[in-house]
Amino acid sequence: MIWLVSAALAAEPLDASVGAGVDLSALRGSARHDVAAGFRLWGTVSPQPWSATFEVAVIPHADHSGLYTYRTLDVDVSAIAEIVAAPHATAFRAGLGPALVVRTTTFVSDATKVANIGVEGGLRARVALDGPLGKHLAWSWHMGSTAHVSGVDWDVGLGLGVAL
Amino acid sequence: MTRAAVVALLLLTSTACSTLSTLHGAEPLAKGKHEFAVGVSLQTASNSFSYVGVPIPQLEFAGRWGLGQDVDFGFRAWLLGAGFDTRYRFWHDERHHLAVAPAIGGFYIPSVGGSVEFHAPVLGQVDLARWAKLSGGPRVVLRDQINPVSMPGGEKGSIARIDVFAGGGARLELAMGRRAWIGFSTDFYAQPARHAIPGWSLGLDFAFRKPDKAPAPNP
Repeated sequence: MIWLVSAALAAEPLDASVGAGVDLSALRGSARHDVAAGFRLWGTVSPQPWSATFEVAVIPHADHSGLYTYRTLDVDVSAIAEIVAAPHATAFRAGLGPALVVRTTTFVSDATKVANIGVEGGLRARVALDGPLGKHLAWSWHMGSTAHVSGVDWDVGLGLGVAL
Repeated sequence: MTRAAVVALLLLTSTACSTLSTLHGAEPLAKGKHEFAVGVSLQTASNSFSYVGVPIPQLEFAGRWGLGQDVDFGFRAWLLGAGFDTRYRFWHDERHHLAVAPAIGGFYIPSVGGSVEFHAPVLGQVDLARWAKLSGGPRVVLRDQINPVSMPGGEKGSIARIDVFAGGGARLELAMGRRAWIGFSTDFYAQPARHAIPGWSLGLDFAFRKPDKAPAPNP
């Protein structure tokens, strides 16, 4: 573990990276926030002490019961302006930016099938850590929140990418 | 005090399933340094019945290990649960520190269920004096609660929901001699995901660690 930490601190912070990762999201439902696993693509350009991160998150979710199935598919797109602090190769980022949330819902029961699509604007905030893994790879951790017209979603995730 | 009384006291002070208390500041341990701490707190929102709002006592044990410059690793353990975090100090000067400490934790009770939770605290610290440190900052906690259910027909399933705690904590650490510190903490969290009552924690902890430098020899 000490070797891993030493290696992570010794290199230079990332100038730019792209990657993908897994997310655990808290998606607002009818009566509670449901747990949903998804994936997220990200791209970061980092002219320190600022950076810009672009994200696309895809979060499928289904609620099953004996009477109905309720499926949702969220696609969230965001562009975040961040402040960066990177005393070592691992960089801390905190930022805020606009988001677009597209939610597709399908309700299926024995008698009914109803589909709907909604598009909402919103605001996304997140904190993140990232850094290089060797010469060519990059890692990322984040926790974020997206506020939009019909609610607030929360997410935490880990990703692996490529240093550019 | 008899052994049975000690065990009873430990159980009485360990009844929360998780913890929301802020147990450390923003200054990581130097590489190779260790710290051990024990904390007691009174908390709401730290268990499955968090919406009830009844304060519940919690006892926890914690350890930290300095891994490198500006990075240390910590664990916390309580009745039926545990948590781990990595603290990364991303800015500091002589008396001020800023860090982030991503953490994962959880608890489990067979046949009742449990939870997995993710913490993202951003911590600031001011060294008021060599013997006094004030720290705190915002924190978001995502707690994934999972409980098994049995239906009347014998069918089995599970119910999951995710609880969100958004708020923060603050703590004051005071030196008690060269190796021991006493800490006072307070935390306050809104639960925006389900509009439940706010969660809070009031804590007291004792930490033991080697001083950074040996005292200068007497002339």
